[in-house]
Amino acid sequence: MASITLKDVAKVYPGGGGTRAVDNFNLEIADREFVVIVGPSGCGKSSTMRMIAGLEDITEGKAYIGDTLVNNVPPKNRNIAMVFQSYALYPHMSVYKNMAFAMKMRHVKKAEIDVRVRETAEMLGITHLLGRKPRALSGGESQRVALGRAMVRNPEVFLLDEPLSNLDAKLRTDMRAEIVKLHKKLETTFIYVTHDQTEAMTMGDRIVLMNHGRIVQVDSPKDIYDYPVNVFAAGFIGSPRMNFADCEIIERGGEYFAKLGEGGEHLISLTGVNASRPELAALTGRRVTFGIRPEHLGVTAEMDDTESRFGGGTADIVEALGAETNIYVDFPGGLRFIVREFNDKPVARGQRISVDIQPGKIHIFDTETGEAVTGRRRHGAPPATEKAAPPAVKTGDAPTDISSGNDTELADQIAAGVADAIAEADGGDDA
Amino acid sequence: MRESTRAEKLISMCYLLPSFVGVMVFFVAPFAQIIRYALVDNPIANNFVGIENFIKVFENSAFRRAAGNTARFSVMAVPLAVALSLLLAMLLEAQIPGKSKFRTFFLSPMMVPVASIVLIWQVIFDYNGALNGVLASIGVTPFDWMKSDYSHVIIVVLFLWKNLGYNMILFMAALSNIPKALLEAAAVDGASALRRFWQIKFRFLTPTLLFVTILSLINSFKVFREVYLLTGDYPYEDLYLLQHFMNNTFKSLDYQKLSAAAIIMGLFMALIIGILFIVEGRLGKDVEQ
Repeated sequence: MASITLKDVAKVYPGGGGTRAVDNFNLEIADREFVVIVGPSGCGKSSTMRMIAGLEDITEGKAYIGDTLVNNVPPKNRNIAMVFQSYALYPHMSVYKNMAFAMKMRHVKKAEIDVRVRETAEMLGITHLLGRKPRALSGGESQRVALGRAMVRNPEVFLLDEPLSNLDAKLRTDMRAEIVKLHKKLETTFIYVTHDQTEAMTMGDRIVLMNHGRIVQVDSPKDIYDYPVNVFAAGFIGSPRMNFADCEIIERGGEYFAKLGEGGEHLISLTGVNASRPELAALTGRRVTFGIRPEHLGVTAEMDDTESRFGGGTADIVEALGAETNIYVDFPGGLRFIVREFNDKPVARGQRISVDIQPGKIHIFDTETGEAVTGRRRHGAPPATEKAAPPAVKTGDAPTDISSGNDTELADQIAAGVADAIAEADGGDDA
Repeated sequence: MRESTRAEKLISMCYLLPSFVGVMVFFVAPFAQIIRYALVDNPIANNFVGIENFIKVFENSAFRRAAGNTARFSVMAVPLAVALSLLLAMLLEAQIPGKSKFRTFFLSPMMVPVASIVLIWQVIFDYNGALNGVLASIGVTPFDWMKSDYSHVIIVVLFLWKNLGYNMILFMAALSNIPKALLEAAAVDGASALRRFWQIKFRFLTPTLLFVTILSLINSFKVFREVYLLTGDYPYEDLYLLQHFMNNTFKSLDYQKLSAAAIIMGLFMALIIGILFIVEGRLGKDVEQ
């Protein structure tokens, strides 16, 4: 069992013109924590994992596993196990030999190897595959064998590099749940790299969101969803992604409003947003970015412009997904928002509808810097950027465990987000 | 539908015909003719003599010497060519400075015509050549390199110099095709660099190893060209190769002996290549994509 600490870690690839693939990376991962590193392609997440594994040199900074500085420790001496995207099973060895290989390399006694391989195979339900060669395995079976090979020698740290991306949607959902279960059972530190926000939201105790080689936000899935620190985080987490619009903050009769649309057609009250009056006052008259998640907009009674808090628009595209409906609504002033409706109200294409908004869920971002103005205070956590200290996470305390959470509304939203991503099947949620 | 299939077949046959005729005229027919020659007393009388020609060939001391020399050369040159080119490919695969210059250096002999290469080697190893000149300057008595026990070594070096570059390129391509994740997985699993080589790389290199070995074997039989240009029809007896024997037999119009020798050589090569294929089938079957 081991914690992991990365201090000012940077990766510069030779010949890359000095491009910093990973830069100023500071992170502490607690023992037995499940951390998901997520971000778009090329954001440096895999490089970070490979540096922890020892497969890449650390250009700058220090990496510790437990208390040991591992910058110059070869991979085999780090007591880590890695699951690769391609599974990387040795094609000329049987499943048994694949699983036994690492122990054989460490001169473990044959009898002990046999016991451990069989125990692990039993745990993963792959005993019947032990005699097969990798080419005779299906994708799901290969995945299990790859996990088994990692598990069998009880490593201190598990590194999983996009292990589910080669599986079909159904299998991916199953394996996601299994890996989470496995983490609980093994009580080992897990670091999981993915570009899939659904995996990030559902699996990790904490999410490390990366972009352009840097950490954007480190938070629990719940907090990263509720309190994105900037436009990137807001847009990356959540499916369909958050609606954004340019707006102006104005003050009228002591109350603050966001004025949206080309001609300022929409005046949305900011009463209840997660920002103090001085903060809003400071923004008055400035152009800022208004953000609202599709699930925080809703369809109210038809043609009920006077009652609605957002306004009336025309349903342009209606995507009925069964449990929910995504409605692409064109509003006056050139605004186009996605509304995510969980009620079974039939909305037809081209229909005029009235849309309601949850003011407490409005996000305001500084257009110039992209940083969030709203949200952090109620959250009460320190600014969760690069230097954020990890919370003392205990196994089983996963904030993602939505069934045990008190905030049922939030639980619904996250569950809906997951359901949506699953419904979109393969890669549809890759932001 | 049936009509068009027939028409298609006809068209495809027309496309195949030129190649088919070429193969028949230039390969199959001569081969059949050689088998016929090997089994008759002479091409004009055409009396069937069974394996008498083969026995004669085996009894011929020139053939035995030529076969022995050729075998000795191949046994020395082929493993060296395979091992050294693999070693070079692995060195060049690592991040070393001046990588592309090294590659060009080893490939350059391929660009030079054999006659020019031989000229250079003659300049070096002739009795009045450069090497003896250098040796004389430090007091060593000059001697004829191509008529000494070193002659074999010189030909092996010439062969390696000529062939390493191409083999190396083949190995470099094979090395770059080994899935990186497998080597990384093995590194994480605790395999040392040597273990990673034998357990992973070597397995993936097997098909290329076989190919390079066969290629080198064939080229080792063809080294006659260089030896002939260096030393003529009747070289120092250590350098008298199978093709010298064939060449000289051809010149004396002894077709029966020539054909029998050619068949023996062909069968021998087929045997070696067959064994290599079996080995490759065992080692390489799981790693071929």
